[in-house]
Amino acid sequence: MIQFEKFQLDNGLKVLVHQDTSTPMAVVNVLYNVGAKDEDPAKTGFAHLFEHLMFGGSVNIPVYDEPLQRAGGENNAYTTNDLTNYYCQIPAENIETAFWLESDRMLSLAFSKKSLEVQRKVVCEEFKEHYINKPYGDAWHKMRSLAYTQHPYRWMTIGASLAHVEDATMEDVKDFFFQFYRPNNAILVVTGNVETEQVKQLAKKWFGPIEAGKAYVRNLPKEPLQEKTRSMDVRADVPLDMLMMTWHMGGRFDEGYHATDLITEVLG
Amino acid sequence: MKQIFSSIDCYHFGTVDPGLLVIEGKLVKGISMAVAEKAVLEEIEKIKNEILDAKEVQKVINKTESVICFEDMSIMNRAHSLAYYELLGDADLMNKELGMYQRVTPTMIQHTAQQIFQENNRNTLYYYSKS
Repeated sequence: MIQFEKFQLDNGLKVLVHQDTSTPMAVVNVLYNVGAKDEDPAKTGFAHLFEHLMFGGSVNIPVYDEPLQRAGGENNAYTTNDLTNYYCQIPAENIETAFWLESDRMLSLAFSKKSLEVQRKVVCEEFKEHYINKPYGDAWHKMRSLAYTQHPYRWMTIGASLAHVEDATMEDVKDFFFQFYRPNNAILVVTGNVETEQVKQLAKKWFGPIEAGKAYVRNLPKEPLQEKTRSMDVRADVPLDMLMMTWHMGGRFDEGYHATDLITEVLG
Repeated sequence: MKQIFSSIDCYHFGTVDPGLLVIEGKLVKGISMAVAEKAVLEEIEKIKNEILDAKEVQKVINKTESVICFEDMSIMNRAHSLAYYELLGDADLMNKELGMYQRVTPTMIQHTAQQIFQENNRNTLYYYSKS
């Protein structure tokens, strides 16, 4: 049983606190309710590009990593089709450093031209390395576009095409940030050697002044029931033939979800 | 299966919206795609037609339970999970997850398999080596 306390700031930021005094550390986790599925079909790959841009400096802090490391902290992030999650682990007595860093990123990124150029290049290289040049690297790209005709799961987090990332403008980047990276579209979780009262004060101090954004109402197209089996032949320079089959399954709220998860264990 | 696939895996991504159950495998050299496909479909027919032993189901439930418990050991993973379940609507769902698995019966597994593994619901990528 994981115990936690929950409160919400006036700007809509949800805050959860889970205390564990057996560790000297604390974790500050900021989840943004935006994933690749929320992208414009003509501008894919943005949620993931942001995961990179978020380390390219925020409005008052030119570099993110250095002050965190000096306080003994480390951080990482990941992007999925459903969400983007940023987290850092830091000695509990230095936790305010994490609040300072994370809240400045939420306040605003630096939006420097140089950072966009650098991160765009990094992401394009990642795209080429893992999804174009790697053997079977395009398999999921092809499978997603075969299995999904409507729902935005039809593209991967890296993006539907390299061109979308290459063509990203500063305006696009700013729009995306101010649409999704707002306190009312985020969940802050603090775990470890912390007190709820202390987290409340720090959250109010650092995140409280950040203005709420327009509420994001998710309205994604539903994938229609598949009526006919579909297949695709691929020929590529790979060592062995591969067979990949997928079947549509229920989502996280489907009553058969847990049974389905167990089916993959039985067959796996 | 071992003579047909050099590696084979079954998984899903746990997406929030309806996702995909995946079976993918690399074929042993010399085995045809048709033979490999038939072998997989036969396994699938089994899980649709034969009800699993309660013991076998309990075994995979226990395995899942130990994976969850192991994950929950670090304050980092607890933070990820709390955030994720809060995104789903309520962080306390995290505490209900084990119970959701324990409720699964062999009949539910068979019923779910019959719903998912329908021919019209299948997408297949035949990925051939050029060499």
